Amino acid sequence: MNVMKLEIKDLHVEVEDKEVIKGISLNINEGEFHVLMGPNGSGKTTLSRTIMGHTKMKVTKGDILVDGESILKMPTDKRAKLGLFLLFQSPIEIEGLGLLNFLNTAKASLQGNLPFKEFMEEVKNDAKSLHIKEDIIGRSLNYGFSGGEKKKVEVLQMQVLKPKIAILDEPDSGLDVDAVRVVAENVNDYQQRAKAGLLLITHYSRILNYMKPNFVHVMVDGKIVKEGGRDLADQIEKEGYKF
Amino acid sequence: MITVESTEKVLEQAIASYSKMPFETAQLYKKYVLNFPIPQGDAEGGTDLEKLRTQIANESRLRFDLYNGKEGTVSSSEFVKVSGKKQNDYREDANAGFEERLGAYVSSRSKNSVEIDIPAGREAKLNFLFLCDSSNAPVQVVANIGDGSRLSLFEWFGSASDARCASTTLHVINAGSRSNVEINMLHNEGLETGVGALNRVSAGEDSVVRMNGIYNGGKLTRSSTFAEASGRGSNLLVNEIVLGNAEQKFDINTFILNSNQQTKAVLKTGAVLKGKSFCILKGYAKVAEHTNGSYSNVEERGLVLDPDARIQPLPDMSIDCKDVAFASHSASTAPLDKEALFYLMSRGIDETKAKRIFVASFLSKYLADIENDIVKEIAISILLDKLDNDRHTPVPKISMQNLWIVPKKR
Ligand SMILES: Nc1ncnc2c1ncn2[C@@H]1O[C@H](COP(=O)(O)OP(=O)(O)OP(=O)(O)O)[C@@H](O)[C@H]1O
Ligand SMILES: [Mg+2]
Repeated sequence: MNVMKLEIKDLHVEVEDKEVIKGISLNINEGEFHVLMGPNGSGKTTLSRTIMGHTKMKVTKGDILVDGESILKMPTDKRAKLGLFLLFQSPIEIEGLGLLNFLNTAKASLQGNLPFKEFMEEVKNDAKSLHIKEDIIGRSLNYGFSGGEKKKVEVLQMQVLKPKIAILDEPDSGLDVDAVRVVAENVNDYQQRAKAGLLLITHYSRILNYMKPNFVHVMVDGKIVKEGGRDLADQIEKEGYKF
Repeated sequence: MITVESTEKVLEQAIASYSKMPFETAQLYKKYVLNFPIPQGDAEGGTDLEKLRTQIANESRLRFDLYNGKEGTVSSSEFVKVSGKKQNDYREDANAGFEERLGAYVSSRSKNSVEIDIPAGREAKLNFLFLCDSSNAPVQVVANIGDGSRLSLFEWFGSASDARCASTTLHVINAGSRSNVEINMLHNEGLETGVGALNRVSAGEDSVVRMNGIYNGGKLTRSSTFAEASGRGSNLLVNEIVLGNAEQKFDINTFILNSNQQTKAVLKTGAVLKGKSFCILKGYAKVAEHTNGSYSNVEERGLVLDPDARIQPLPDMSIDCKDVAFASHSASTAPLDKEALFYLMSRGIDETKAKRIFVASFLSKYLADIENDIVKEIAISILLDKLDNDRHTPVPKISMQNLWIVPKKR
């Protein structure tokens, strides 16, 4: 079986004429679990949006490849079709768009039409394991959801859409202690079931107490400054970003 | 029962009340007016009404309780009476305001006067089809909804694509105490037709009244609505959807008034504009003196999809009561939200579809307020057809498939 490979090569990215990513190289394979940490404004979200093809992020140098082919010219939806997924740090609210309708449309775009009953069953099961209240799935996408509900619904989308490599931009921010555990367990479960690759962006080692990452990368001012294993996260939590 | 004489009086009073509307008096509004030419004599085109009527009936699978055709205006409902009215001479009074002139025109030229009379404690669901042809025959409807009654009224206004006519209407609707009334007006006239609509609504004590106006057709639309939460504890919602493309123009004037205590009056308008279309939204709320505990809100939202499309929202408010529960007015217009598109596309949805979803979601906020599911279905189908194909059709395909795109309200 071929595993999907995401390669980031000496990536430089400008946003609004300002260089934010200043030469980053990172390889993520399907099945691997990476963590990315770094202070506010270091460029973590910018990196994740660049991987997903946000048009405001201008790649000035370097490349992003999937299975050896550059995806820089690919529109965002095609990247999703390759198997990439981004859990948003700040999910967008769309009043008037039913969450179910949205998920169904997205799933159909990625995997073709599924009988509605099967789809509903899957969504309900995943929502249950995430402790998402029933009424949430009948409502408008993220509209008026609490911070925690939004993050859980992002994880729900990952479970339903089944990406091969998922970038999770702070899935734990804004979550209470119990919710962090629930989210961590669901992400673990998905990763193991789907043998997915993960790039988890976080500020706290708290969520990692429930998880087993293979690699930890630390980003400061648009560059990766340190790499290591699980203990690096604890060190940062204790000492901050002093390198 | 209402009599022809009392109906005439009601109409007269309604027309006269327009002279006090802010659109005639406020300086702010005088700058933004689309001139609607009051028709003189007959127009051209749109002669095959029978064909259009059959198509609409077949496609919507609706049985219309009232329609106009070769035989004139025909009604089959026990609650509806069509009385022939002789055609008065219409004399243009240059000193009168626009609404008064239009009202006088409709009233004098209309061949038929439609009266809806729902006795107390009864329930009615009525579907009307008004097609406009070269005779320019205006429509006037007077509805009296008895105490504790329910009325769900759907009116489809249409004309053929080539009908260079004027679709003019005058409505006077009185909702009795504790009544529950939903009026749905779908304007889907052809793009050569002028649309002039006058609506006068009053909500009785503890009544719930919703008026949903969907403005999809017409070359130039000028509508003036005067909706009054007149009975204590009444709850009034005026919900308006505008979808313009090509060269369509809209001038939507809506006045909501709280004139009693504990009343709620809300005006929600959502306009989506494409091509070179243009829309003025004049939403005005007044909370009268001594209406303690009243709630009033005007909210105008515009979504502008093309660089040459324009919208001018002008919400305004006058609060003459010191003890209101809530009063607010707001307006916003925006292009397509790039971040929302990125979000949708990141889930594998292509750009075209993502845009469609975004616009449909915007419209859904207003469609969600329509209680009648069949009307909702027809409205979604008609709006999406226009968005997808960038053209206006008198009878688009109507599909139940789209119904579930409207999410539950929070
Ligand atoms: N759309 C934008 N316009 C202007 N500047 C931007 C934009 N997006 C990001 N930036 C800038 O790029 C830098 C990196 O921002 P980014 O959001 O990637 O940081 P982050 O590492 O995700 O921070 P946090 O931990 O706070 O989420 C910041 O200085 C930010 O102000
Ligand atoms: Mg960030």
